[in-house]
Amino acid sequence: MVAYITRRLLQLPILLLLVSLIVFSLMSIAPGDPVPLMLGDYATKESIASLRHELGLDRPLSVQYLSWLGDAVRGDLGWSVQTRQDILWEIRVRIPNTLTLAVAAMSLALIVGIPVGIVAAVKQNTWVDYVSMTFALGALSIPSFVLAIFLIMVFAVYLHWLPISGSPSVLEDPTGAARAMILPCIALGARAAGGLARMVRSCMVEVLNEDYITTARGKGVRNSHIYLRHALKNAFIPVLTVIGINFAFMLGGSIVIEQIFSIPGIGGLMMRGVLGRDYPVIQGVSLVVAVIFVVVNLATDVLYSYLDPRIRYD
Amino acid sequence: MGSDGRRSDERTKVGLFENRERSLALRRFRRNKMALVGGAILLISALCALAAPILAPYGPLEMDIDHRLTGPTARHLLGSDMFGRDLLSRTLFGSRISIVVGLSAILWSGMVGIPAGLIAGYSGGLIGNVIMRIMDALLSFPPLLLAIAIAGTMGGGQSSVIFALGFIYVPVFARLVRGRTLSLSEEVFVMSAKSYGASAARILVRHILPNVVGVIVVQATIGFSGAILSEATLSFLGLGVPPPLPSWGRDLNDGRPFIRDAWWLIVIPAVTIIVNVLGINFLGDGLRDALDPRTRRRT
Repeated sequence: MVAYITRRLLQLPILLLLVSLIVFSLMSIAPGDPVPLMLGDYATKESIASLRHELGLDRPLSVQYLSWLGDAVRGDLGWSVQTRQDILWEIRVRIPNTLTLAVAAMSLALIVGIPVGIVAAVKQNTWVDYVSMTFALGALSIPSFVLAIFLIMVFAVYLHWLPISGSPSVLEDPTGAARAMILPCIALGARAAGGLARMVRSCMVEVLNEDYITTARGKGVRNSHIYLRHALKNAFIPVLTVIGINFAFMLGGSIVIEQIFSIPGIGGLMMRGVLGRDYPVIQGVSLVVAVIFVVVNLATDVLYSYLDPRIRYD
Repeated sequence: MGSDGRRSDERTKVGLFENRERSLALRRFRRNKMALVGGAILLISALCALAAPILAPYGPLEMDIDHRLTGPTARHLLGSDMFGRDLLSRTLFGSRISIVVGLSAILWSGMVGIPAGLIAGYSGGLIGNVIMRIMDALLSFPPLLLAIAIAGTMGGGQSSVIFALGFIYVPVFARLVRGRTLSLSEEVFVMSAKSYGASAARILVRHILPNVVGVIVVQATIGFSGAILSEATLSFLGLGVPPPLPSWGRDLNDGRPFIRDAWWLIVIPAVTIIVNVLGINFLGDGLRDALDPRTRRRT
């Protein structure tokens, strides 16, 4: 296990270097010269040349990459062409909103998905099982943006129970902020909830057939004790991976959800970058999200190998 | 003579074995009714896409100015949008874009990812390592973020969406094929091919590739539904095919301002997307069960 973790940690710098190379290469797939596109239709030759010089685009590619990477490592992601703001600052201001949304959605998925999975496994092959697994498959199959629009239509437009969008400050209006989070959380978390429920069910079913469960039953251990202490504990190890993967994926999914519910997170920043051809912003957000993604995945794998020493990675 | 006879004998044996395998696979597949439903949905979708000009009562861009935002009526079976365009026609023509984008994305990612995986799995060493580290790096981005970054940087539009979505699946194919190639390289039939001096290219194409086709087909089906979904997402965000071309994702987004008054502008594209994604997922699940009994869902 120690060897595995060490190897993964040693690979990390190489992986991050390749990630940075991919992010840097994004600029090269921009159609034509990105500078006039960034400046718009009325750019003069002089302003184009000066922006090109400012961005360092008049230097050879390898020099550009190394200086960009050097700056990024020191926490300088450059500035937004549109707003002239420091990109790292823009990300820092917004990232709490994105993380809050992702953590809340994940919590919701756990609160719903795990009990549903347990109940389905315990009531295996009964109507309870079929109904909950159909719902789980449904939750897995509905795209988050479609679910978001449906939720808005039903709960905000027709029933007027919840706000359509916006995110009031938690300090000024705590209930308002919580209410505004409900729909985005459901939209972002439904997929994870469905996946979790299916995973918990299949792992529990497998564990419930193990000999030690039969032994525990034979000893007269209470059912609730068997399900929660004996079965869930062992079923939880694979479930952990699903949690890690889903959390990492939520960082991508939040782009759409933030856009729909007008949440000022880094997804919104990304879309602003994409629609405004603000390439440094696209690169900055991609790099930061990829780094978080890599770290979350690594943490999941390490924790997994720690919890289940039987697992061998090659 | 004798040796010829024996060879044809073996061939029949192998053929029989293959037939039996195949019919078992077919039976498992039939048993999986969900997969049949999924296949039917996909078939209907494909037929709709092919026959859109015949089936659609109007052109996808045709405006019926006097009947804007009408609900489902005899004139517009699924209602009309803010420009008086017929929603049924747009949905039918939209399936063309979804299928074309989905298929092209999977095709090009397979064309890059499958050879990459074969080479990485068979040659190992430095080349294999370099290939797989690049694939790991591509997998280090949330897929949607990578697609948005690529498609957005390229300026959106159909070809940039295809290019971007393909990028997501290149490492998926490569990893899958590499894993299979690694284990197949140890098999006796590969060893024996090596021993009579077959070239690496021949071994990969003639001996290993045919044994990987099954998992590739399953992955391609799953990837196809993912690509259709991602195309809808990117179009929804305004990065897909440019307006006024019909696309399920963008039509859904265009309907948002009318959420209060014209539910059909939301419900029709949304249900279309859900049904298609669900259908292909069913089919993918069924194919996986049928082709690879080891990964069958335990019940």
